Amino acid sequence: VSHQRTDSAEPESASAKLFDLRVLIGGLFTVYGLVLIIAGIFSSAAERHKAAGININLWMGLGMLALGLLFLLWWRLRPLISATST
Amino acid sequence: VGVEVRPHPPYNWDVVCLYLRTSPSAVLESIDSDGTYRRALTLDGIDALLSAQSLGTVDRPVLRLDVQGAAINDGTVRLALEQIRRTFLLDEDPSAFRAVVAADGIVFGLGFVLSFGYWTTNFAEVQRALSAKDLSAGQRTPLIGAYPKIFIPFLTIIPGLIALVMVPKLGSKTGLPYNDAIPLLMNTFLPNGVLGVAMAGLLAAFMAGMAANVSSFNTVFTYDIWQQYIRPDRPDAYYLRVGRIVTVAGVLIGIATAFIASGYSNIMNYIQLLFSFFNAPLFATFIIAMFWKRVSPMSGVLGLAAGTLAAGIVHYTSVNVSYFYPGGHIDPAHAMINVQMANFYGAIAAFVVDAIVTVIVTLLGKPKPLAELAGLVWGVDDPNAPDPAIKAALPWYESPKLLGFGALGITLVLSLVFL
Repeated sequence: VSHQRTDSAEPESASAKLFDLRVLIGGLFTVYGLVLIIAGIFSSAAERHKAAGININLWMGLGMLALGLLFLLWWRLRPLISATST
Repeated sequence: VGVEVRPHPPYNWDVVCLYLRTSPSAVLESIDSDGTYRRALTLDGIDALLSAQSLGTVDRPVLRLDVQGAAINDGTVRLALEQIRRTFLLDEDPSAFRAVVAADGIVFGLGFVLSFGYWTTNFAEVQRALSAKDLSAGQRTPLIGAYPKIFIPFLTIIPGLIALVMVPKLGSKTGLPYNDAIPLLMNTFLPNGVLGVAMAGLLAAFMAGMAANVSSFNTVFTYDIWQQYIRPDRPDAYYLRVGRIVTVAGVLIGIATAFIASGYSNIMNYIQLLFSFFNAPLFATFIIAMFWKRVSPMSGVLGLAAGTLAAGIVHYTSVNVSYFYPGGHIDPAHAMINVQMANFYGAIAAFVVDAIVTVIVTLLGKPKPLAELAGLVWGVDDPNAPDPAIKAALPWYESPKLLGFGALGITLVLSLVFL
């Protein structure tokens, strides 16, 4: 079984920062959340009726946006540090 | 004249109907799609029509029996009841059977072998634990993973119950099969937008499961089999190419197994069958080798082979074992067999046989040098590991004990709430 470890002492590259998993998760949830919120605002009565009268697009979009922003906030507040610098 | 009969729980009317449908009968009988059974009766020379219908559940069974005819009285009804007692298997007391089964098959087969095997031999998880940055992070891997798993029943059982209520005739002869429940619910209730997110979620789940298993498969095959035994001492580029070929082969094998799975009406039966063949022996080998430093590679291989063989023997002989049938009666079509219980016993056989073979071969063979086991086996420390005394104190929420007991506590509370 492979062990992967970054033993280099050089500073983090920009790509390593960009491909932090939290950016991918947070970015995706933020985009999906915004798309759903827009779909929810412009949803028709028939669409609301389908989901038992709940504007499910709007609520789901708000939830996903909040989750996405939380991931981005986490990434902002506690950036990735390499194993060697601890 | 109508009578309500209460058979011993658990009494599964659907299974009785299935049995009556498949067993040849001399009298005129019919079973409707909604589960109403009708047959002609002759009582003391009087012709009568009997219809039976289930009003209760498996745990609180109620059978509504109606006897219609020209000259029906209490005596003929009693006679009718006596006659149909055997037809509907009312004499059996399956609760005694269930009590015996619950004590061994479920507790040891499902509770010990299959569930521990599932949670400790999963390649994706083991690899994550082995590549963790320290011991504590490795210990946390399965514990953090346990938390989302606790709530899986809410994602599987509750939508299933909703589908049963919302989709008419789901799972009956004339209705749609149970496998369509989730797509049907999505189609019925989700408007454009959330529907796309749900589809993305399903596809992501399929891909994540597939990707984790395929990447584990190519790592184990390339590093531990090809490099170790078949073509050692080649440049990295060679093994990288092997890994890529194995990845493609793994995906194709994965697709091929879908054709086997489609032959099973119930994915749970298929999964438990596979687990009894492969996970149960793997768990036995894993647990013994982790705690006993004498275990050799040869005893691991032979133990696994013997365990899988034992599960196979149980699987192919179980159809002829009366123990796996309700009430101990083997029906000619083998339709009533308790497949899950047979799988649980397959898992028990695999575990026990694997353990016995592993121990015997280990005692006969030569152990591996201790230096090769450093850091992998209980009691053999890794000389390069950092001194535990200088380890930085963990934040309280990263303590494996707290995480482990937290998961157990939540499971206990939920089990009591939904008992």
